[in-house]
Amino acid sequence: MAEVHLKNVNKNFGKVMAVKNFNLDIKDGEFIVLVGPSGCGKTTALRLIAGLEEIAAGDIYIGDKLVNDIPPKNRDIAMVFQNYALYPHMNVYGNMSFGLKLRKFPKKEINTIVNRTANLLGIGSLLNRKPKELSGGQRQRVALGRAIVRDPKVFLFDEPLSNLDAKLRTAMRAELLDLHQRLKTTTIYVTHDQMEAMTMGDRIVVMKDGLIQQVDAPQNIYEHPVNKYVAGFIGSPSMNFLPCKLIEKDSKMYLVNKGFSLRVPSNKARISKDYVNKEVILGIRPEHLNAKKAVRDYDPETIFTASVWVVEPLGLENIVHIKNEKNSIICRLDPHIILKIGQTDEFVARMDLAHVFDKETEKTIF
Amino acid sequence: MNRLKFGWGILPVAIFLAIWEGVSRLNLIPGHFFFPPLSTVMQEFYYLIANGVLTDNFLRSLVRVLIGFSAGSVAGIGMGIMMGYKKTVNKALYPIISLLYPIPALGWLPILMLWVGIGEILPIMIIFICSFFPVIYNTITGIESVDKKLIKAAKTLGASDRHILYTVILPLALPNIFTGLRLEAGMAWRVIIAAEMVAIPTGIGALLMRAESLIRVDIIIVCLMVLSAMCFLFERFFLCLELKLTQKWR
Repeated sequence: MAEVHLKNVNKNFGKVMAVKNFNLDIKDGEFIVLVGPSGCGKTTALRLIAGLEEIAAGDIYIGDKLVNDIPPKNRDIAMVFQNYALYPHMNVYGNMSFGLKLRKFPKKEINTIVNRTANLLGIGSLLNRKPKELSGGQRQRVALGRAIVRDPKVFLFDEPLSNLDAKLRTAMRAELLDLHQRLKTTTIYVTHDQMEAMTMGDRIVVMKDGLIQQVDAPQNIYEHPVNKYVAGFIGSPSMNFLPCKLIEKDSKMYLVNKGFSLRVPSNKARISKDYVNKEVILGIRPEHLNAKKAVRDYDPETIFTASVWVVEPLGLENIVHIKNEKNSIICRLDPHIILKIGQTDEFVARMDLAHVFDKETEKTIF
Repeated sequence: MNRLKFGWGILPVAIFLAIWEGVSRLNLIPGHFFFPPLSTVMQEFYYLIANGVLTDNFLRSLVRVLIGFSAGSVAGIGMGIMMGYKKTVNKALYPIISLLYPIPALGWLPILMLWVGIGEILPIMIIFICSFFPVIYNTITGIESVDKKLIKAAKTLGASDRHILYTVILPLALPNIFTGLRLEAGMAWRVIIAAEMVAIPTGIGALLMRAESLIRVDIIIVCLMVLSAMCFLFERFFLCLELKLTQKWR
């Protein structure tokens, strides 16, 4: 186990800056998730830590050791790849013992470690099989086992669950978390799936265009996104963004556009004083909207009307697409609320949980 | 099931041989002197072995093929590994290899006759050239087609470059290398016969030319049958080796 520190790390491929001014301190035993869309630089950042890419500038420390010029084999890390990267010509035992043989462990010890790890992962009976004879989940476990047997200071996971079907992905997610709780090894996990990031990480690093947007605990990122990008990336369905104007009337603040006029809670109104009469963006999550008929206590000044466009029943909830003038809005509603397509209804916005973003900088105002 | 398949493979050959024997015996083709029956050919085959003519010429061709092909393959694999693994070597040598590769092996014959003269070195060098270039190309392709993630995984697992080459890259490049060896093993026989026909006084090719000048079609057919059998056996040998080494994981 070890801390990992990245200080002002930069990486470019020709003229393209893949990672810009990357600063991150990862605690010993922490499970940190780098999340972002394709091309945001998260995998490059992971490869820089692994030593598979050379940094253009900055410093990387694993433990208290500066590893900038240390080759991957001497960094005491173990990486699990998206396509598992198992050696097809070796059986499960050969794959799992590969790293130990390179370290010249005695045969007996290799045998003990591989068997113990294989049993831990439930693949003890598959040691003689070749990777082509395994299912996706079993291959994933072998790749995991190959990393675990090395007992590294840091685990690096590069989208390890992306090739699995949804059901298996959920199961493996739980297994990985369980494994981390048992091993307590520092883990850096890359994914483009915000759900994976939210459920697995002690902290999440949200990235865009090679830049870190926000580093925080999952719940804090969900509740307090620093900008419109993070707010939109975390949460599914993603946050509704509605362009509007902030106006002051009778000492109260309102967010107004052609389709609605919603009062800003007084505690947040103070923060947004500088933006009075300016164009801003209202951000409200689908789960913070409700049909008026389903709510007992509400502020009458947070109601708006909209026509129901599409209803997606999911059993546990309904994803309802509504239209209000030019605003397309998604709500997450209780499935027992009856809404007819094409019908106009009244909806309530939880303005205490809404966010407002600067239209120019897209930074969070509140 | 395998027996059934084997039977189906043999059956057309048996029918072909029977038709050959029948057509020739019944004089169905005008000028049957140039089309001896299978039984006559087999009789001549026996005589040629018994008096040592076929054995002597065959062994000469075989030794030439074995030496030339082994040397060409080893050099081709070695050079291919260097070019496939080290980009700088590839950049330095690829243009030269690309220029020389399109020249057919027999195209080298006149210049090699002048350089090394007509002797045992000449056919060996022709076979060397015939094997060397295609094996290089297949080895490079095999090495370059190894999934880069497997190499990266080995690096993170603590493998040195040498370990990666021997334990990851070469085993995974084997199918491509074997494809090159298999194709060139048959080609080596075709080329040696052609070379012996044109420029070398001994070997199956030379025997073929002598039979032509004596208008001995039966001997010509014997030589062609030996050539066909050797091409088939050499290709089969490498196919079996390839399957034995790679089938379990491919």
